[in-house]
Amino acid sequence: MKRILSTLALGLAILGTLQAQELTNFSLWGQKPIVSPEIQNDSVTFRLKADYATVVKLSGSWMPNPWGGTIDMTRGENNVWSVKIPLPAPEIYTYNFVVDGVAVNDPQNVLVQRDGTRYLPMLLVPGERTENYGEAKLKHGTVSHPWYHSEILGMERRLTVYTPYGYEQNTKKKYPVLYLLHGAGGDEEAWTSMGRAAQILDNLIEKGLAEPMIVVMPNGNPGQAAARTLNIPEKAYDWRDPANRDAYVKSLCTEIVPFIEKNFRAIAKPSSRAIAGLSMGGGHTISASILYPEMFDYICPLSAAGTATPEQIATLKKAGVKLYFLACGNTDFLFQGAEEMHAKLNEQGLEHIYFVSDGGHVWSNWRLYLNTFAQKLFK
Amino acid sequence: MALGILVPSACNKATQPVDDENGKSNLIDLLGKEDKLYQDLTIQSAYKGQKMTYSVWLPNGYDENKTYPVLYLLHGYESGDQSHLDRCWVEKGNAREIAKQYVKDGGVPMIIVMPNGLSDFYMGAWEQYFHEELMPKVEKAFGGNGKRAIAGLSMGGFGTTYNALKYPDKFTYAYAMSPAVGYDMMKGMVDAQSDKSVFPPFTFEVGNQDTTVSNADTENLANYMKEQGLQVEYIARDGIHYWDFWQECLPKALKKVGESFK
Repeated sequence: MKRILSTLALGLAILGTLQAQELTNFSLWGQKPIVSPEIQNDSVTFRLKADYATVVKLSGSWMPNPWGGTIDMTRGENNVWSVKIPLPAPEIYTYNFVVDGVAVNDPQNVLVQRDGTRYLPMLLVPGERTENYGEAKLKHGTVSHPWYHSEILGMERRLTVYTPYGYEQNTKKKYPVLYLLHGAGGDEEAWTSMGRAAQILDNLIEKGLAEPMIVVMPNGNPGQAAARTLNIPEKAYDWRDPANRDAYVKSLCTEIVPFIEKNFRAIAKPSSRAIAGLSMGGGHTISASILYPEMFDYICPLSAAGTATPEQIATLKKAGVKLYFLACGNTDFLFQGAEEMHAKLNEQGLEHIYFVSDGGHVWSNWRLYLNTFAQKLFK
Repeated sequence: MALGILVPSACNKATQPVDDENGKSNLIDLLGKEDKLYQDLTIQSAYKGQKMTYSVWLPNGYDENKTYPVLYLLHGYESGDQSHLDRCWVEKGNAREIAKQYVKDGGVPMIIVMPNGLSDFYMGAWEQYFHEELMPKVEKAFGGNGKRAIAGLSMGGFGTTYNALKYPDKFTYAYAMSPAVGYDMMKGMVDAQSDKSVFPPFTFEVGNQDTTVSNADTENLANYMKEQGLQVEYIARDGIHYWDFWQECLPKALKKVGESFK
């Protein structure tokens, strides 16, 4: 019996090794594996095997003008095109090759981000800025996709829910909840894909910098049941129709919040509810804080497309706010709106943090904001 | 790229967009320091039977009480979601920055209209929408002075050449970048005019390494037009069928178009 088991074990080990070799592109014909991207000290090299290409270029989001500032790659041995560039500053970037005018992903790079209906190869440059964007060392939370029924929108709808490390074990413990909203063009997976929300929360919680919390990331497109990648037909939605106005925000506050508080061990108190969102989601955040001023004690509009009247801010202040975190990039086209909101909040005496970063309407800022305000919630 | 980042959400009354049938929308107004850009404006088109989107760029120092010449800038074929193609030239072509710089450097202030061409090659029902619905509406709403030019890339280069040849008295310049051309059809359109002086001047700018369109067809058409007495400039330089090439074309196009407005 032992002999059979050890032979089996040996056989499986050999099989495993062979498969691993296949994954690293080791060819039986003795070709060297192509590595791309390859980070070395202060440079990064990109490689693409393209036997019949005439012109191959590299386009990357670290470039100020990615569409216009493409970098030429050089054809090398075995038709492997390559280019070596100085390592960009620590951040997550996306890039693609352009082969004879056609955008092509990097076949050697397993790391990708989905932005709407586009998959883009991902380059993570390690450093202080990105230290919480990679996987946590030991304590990982769980990401799941429950569905809730929406009477308001007339369909079943998908959520992304993050529960922190220990949630399954600590069956007596209840947790505060952050409702984290995406922008237009995004869906319930935007924050976990491009926002690195699970990794950021895992790392902050593991390091003791953030309170263990549940994070709920709904789909903010009222005509969508779920992300387009699930191939579910969408409803046509005229947001100009008064009946539809605020429909998603109503669904969030009167359907999703109760759903979470019924199906998860969530603390059902305003002091344990936070709401944050970027761009269109920032608009939703502000709307929610206006329509349901008592519901959330932590309010974080990020690069928000939306505003509030002095009366609405006064009402919110009266209802009680523990943290108002208003963030925007100083070259964001919505920056003027943020300045105006900041002034209005001051006029009404609503104490808040006005967090201004460099840069514009980009995910590198939204990751930064999450990494920052998550540490201030529920404390 | 996630294009529709600015699609307005269900928001409170303070940010409720005004009806934009007259061509202006406050929520989508991206306030630049000097110039202005409106995106995702819509017109309900009877010819196309749907809402059509378009973007409008207003130059630095734009004065509501003045009138300006208009450049119609056309995008190329894009697969996938077609609802926001009016944004292509700004988002991928850097058109806003290029146009802003052009005016800053002493160029002729002009309005740039970037319509969503879907995949219609700017012909047929789209063509009727363009001339009879979009043009009058946008030139009235933003103050067109009656002078207009047309430019575009790839499928938009086709649309540029097609519309300039078919409606020669409407345009002061036609600038086609990496165009797809229909040689036989367009040769016929040149032949259809007995008086060749009606045609505006043309520029065709092509990339030598372009493997998507036939530069040979473009060159043949340009040569034929020249033989017929039209004013044609043909530029062939190194480049592929990609946005970096068209970003280099645009400043030149603005110069030529601006001169034609004088």
